[in-house]
Amino acid sequence: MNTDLIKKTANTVRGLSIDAIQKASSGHPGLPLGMADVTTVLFNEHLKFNPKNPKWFDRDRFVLSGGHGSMLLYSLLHLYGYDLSLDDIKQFRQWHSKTPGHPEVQDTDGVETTTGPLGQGLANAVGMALAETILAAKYNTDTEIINHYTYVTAGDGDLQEGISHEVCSFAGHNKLGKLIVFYDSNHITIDGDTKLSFTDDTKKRFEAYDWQVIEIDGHNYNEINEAIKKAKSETEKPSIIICKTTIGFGSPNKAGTHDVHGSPLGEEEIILTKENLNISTEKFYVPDEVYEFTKQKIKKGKEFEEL
Amino acid sequence: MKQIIENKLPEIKIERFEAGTKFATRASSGKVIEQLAEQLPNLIGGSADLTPSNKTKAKSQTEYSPNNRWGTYIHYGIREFGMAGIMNGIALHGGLIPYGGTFFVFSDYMRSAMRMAALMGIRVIYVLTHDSIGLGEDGPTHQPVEHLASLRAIPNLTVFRPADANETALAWKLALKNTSGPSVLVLTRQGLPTVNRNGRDFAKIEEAEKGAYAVSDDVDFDIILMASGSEVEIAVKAKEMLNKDGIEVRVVSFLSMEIFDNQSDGYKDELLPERCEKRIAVEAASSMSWYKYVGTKGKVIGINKFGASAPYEKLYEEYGITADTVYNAARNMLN
Repeated sequence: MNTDLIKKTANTVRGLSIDAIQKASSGHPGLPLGMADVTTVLFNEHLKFNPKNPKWFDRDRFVLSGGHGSMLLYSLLHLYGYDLSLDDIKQFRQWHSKTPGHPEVQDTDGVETTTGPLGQGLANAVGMALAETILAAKYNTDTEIINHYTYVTAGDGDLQEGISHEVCSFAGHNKLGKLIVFYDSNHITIDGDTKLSFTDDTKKRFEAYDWQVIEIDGHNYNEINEAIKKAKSETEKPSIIICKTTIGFGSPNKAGTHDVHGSPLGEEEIILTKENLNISTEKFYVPDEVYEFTKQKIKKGKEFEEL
Repeated sequence: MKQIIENKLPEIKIERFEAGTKFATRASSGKVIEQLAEQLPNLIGGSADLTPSNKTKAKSQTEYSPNNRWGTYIHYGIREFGMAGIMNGIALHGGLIPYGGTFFVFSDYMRSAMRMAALMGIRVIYVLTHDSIGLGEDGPTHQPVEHLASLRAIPNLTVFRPADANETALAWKLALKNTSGPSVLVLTRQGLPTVNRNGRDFAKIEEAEKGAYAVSDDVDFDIILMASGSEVEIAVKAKEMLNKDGIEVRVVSFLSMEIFDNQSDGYKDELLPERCEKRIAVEAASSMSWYKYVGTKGKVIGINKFGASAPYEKLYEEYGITADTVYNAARNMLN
């Protein structure tokens, strides 16, 4: 893993996300800034997909359960070769754009489900992982034609919603070993610190469901990569990777606070954030070396299909 | 496999139910599922722990478990919302057609996920039984009242409330063919007669494909009675009483308001002609859904309060969902 270029790609995701949100004068920068590292490692090093054939049946599924972080997904889809241009990103949250406020499955290639009502993306992911096991059992007779993972990012909100208890209990009972959840544990919800309303021991909770629980620093590339490897190799149990993250990572004055959750950073803070991340302050800027880097993964799409 | 990925539905054959039999529509649904499970290997059934009540499991379906991954019947446990969210995931994944059962009253638990299925335009089928005060003794906690109106209000959700076994079979077919949105089958606990569709008294079942149709009809009708599900039988009885007084009547069964609303203006005018303003709707549920069909001169006989615990015949009597009520309302309207 080339951590230098992973970092540059993740920071490009951050830059695109905060610029689009600022241009739209609405959106949620906290989640994209906080989860850019985890999802970039996932997309670059692990996720099996072909952006030129986004509906390829045996692709890995990726669900952003916290749909309010839509710009995270759109930035990744753009960099990883899906039919989503920089102009589309500049149209974030506008009438008939491919980049609506929350991801909508019928509008954008690479969006696997419509998310926004918290907890439901997680439920959809459980359904996808369940479907994979049924189809694999049915059709992998002579040759293996169905074999893919379902990845989902879920935040404090997703894990507080009642439905998360229902479906994670179900997934543990049914040993959905190819379901991998990234828990974006940043301790912040809209009202403030999670101490206000959510002091569960999430690790114990998921152990009680008979899941594999892995805890990492969600901004450490090697830890992220190793955790995903470990999660993939455990096929008897679903895995949750508890990623300790900072909401709004990179924003010098707003990171770690609920102020960064649901409103644009502001022009000044955007410049400070980009300087802090050591990236260009030019708007919607993607360095050539990042495009060159992600192109390597895009090329693999066709190879995946032919495997 | 290719067929399954491409989401192609083979031709489905469901046997006709013979006239004269009496089934709860949940039971006819169970008999339909038996046949569907044989023909559709990618049909994935389930229930939120009400399998014997919902009649959702076919004998040929084996139970899914970690040791039986090819099982096509899911025990979702007592997790209605979870079930609905998981079914959305199954449908989105592709290759499988999910259906799941619970009591109709618990559609409230599932509602947000049903709304998401409608928004996404995906094929998920909900088998919701025990659909009114007709479930009887369990009482108002379990008796749906506002649920029909509230689900009919969700865009792109098709709600079916079949009146007999053959309407139930048709509802299943139409739900399976609807690949651009979810469908709800609203089914009874109590038995309903299978009407004779081979004679002159009742319409052929194919008529029901238009969502609403004249199930029992007189040529020069003076009044239109409308109903869905278990109340169609009541409307038909009221028609018989009115016929004895020399009054000609059209009885319209509303299998699905959404499908009817999508018909041509021509068909709608033919079924509910403007000249006939005397219209009465009867449904054991909130009256809200019906005003657009009965018009300003019409009347709706519904239930706009909570139910109660008692045998269902007593409840229908006490809540005025009877042929007598419909007959008297018709006589008053015609005078």
